[in-house]
Amino acid sequence: MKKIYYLKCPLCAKEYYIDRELYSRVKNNPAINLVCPFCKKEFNGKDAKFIDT
Amino acid sequence: MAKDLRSFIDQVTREAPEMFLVVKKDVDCHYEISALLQYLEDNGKYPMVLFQNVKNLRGKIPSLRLITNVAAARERVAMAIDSTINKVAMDYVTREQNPLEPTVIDKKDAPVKEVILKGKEVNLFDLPIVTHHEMDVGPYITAGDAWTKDPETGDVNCALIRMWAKEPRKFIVFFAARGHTHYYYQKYVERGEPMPMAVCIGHHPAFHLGAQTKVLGAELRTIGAMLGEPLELVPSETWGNKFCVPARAEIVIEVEVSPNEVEIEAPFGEYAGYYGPQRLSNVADVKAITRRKDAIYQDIFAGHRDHLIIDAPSLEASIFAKLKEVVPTVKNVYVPQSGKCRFHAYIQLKKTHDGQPKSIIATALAADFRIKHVWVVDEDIDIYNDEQVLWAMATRFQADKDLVMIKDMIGSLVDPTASIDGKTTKAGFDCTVPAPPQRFEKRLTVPSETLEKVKKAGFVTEDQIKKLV
Repeated sequence: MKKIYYLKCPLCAKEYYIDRELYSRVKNNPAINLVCPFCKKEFNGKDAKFIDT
Repeated sequence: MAKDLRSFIDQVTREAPEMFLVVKKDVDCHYEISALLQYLEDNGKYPMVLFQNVKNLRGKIPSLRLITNVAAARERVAMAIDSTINKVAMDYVTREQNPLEPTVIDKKDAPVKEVILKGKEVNLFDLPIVTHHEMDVGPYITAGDAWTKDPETGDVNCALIRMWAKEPRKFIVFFAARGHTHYYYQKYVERGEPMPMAVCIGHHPAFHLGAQTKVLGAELRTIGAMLGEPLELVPSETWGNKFCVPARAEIVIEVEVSPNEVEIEAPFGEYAGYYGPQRLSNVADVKAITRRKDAIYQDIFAGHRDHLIIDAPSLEASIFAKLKEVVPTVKNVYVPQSGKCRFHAYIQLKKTHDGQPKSIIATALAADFRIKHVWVVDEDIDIYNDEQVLWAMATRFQADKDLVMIKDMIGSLVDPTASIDGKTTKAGFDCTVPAPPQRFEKRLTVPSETLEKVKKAGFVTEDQIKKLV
């Protein structure tokens, strides 16, 4: 089981990571909004592009 | 003169002006502050830096002045309690044993009450809150000493916790599940009540040293012990004399942490030198801000020496006290910057028995969950010099006899290699020579009389030595 989950922001395409608990919540409820630390914009969890590592 | 941030700035400018840099150029708190500190660090320099013209989060210059890197040099942290770099942990132990009760003063005498803002007057974006690193989600208060109260006993806990200034009157705050802040928070959750929290920014570094004591409930008395005078308190605006705050702080922000609301927070650069992941953290509503008229906003350069060294003396003192019970001939303990002042401990021993190093290792690894690797060295090794400690490891350590490894101990969650539930493998290295009467090879020395003669003979001046590479 991973500690961090990498994803690509659907707006600016930069990569960052979230923790396992948040990842589980997003997978169970894609309506959750995440915040890209680079472009500072919110986006819907269902639009997050998770990266398989 | 009562001790506060300004008295410390005066002391440093008087006694060690080479440790103080004033920047008058306009600067943006969005990365530019940390960029300058990084530039200085890349050149091996760690002065305290006062920025006089800082753009606040509303883009206004000047806002308040900003000071940072206060604790980035162990010499300055030691200066805060009239000590030296190799005695500061021992002096911490001595002072901790002589706590001083705090005293409550009148609001009219409290500098932190010169400006009082409540309700809609409050706007965090008037402060020059720094965005430190590239992948940080936003501006964070990093030098905010968060005071919380046990709802049952009234004991106050102090902790440096990270706070994202997300909206003009809202923080998202993170406090680790293992910490005392979280322990108190759970009590408020059980009661269904918001947790009062006073965020104290800008005080004498001895204040922060005392606040880092590992003894739950002793913070305010230990702060007094470190200051060498009772800590002055004044009733807060939101809770009155039920919750008093430091009267000589530069700024106090009074917040209530919701017992049930969480929002997205982070990434944020943490003490291990990596970004902590984006996560759900607690919502805190700002009720009031009080401050000095010309307040100096203090920032801590997160993940760098300024963040790390302030906790070192209390950690060293805590480990030293536990070791002394087990092996009385332990001489000193140091948590080096190279181990982020958390993960590594160098322990200096006057060795009288071959069993002592492993007893020390076992005790030190359990003494604090963050300690991951421990080196035990002899008295002739300077534990403040990484090169000497590693030389001892190179020449006095054999992995099949001198290595102690313990799997699945409680470790730090910010260590990227720890397991999901925070378990870690810890290790200790016995880098000592055999105990007397056994003999070992002799290390190289130049005759001390000749060394002294050459120092006095003027072959090279002290000024020349300072300039040489």
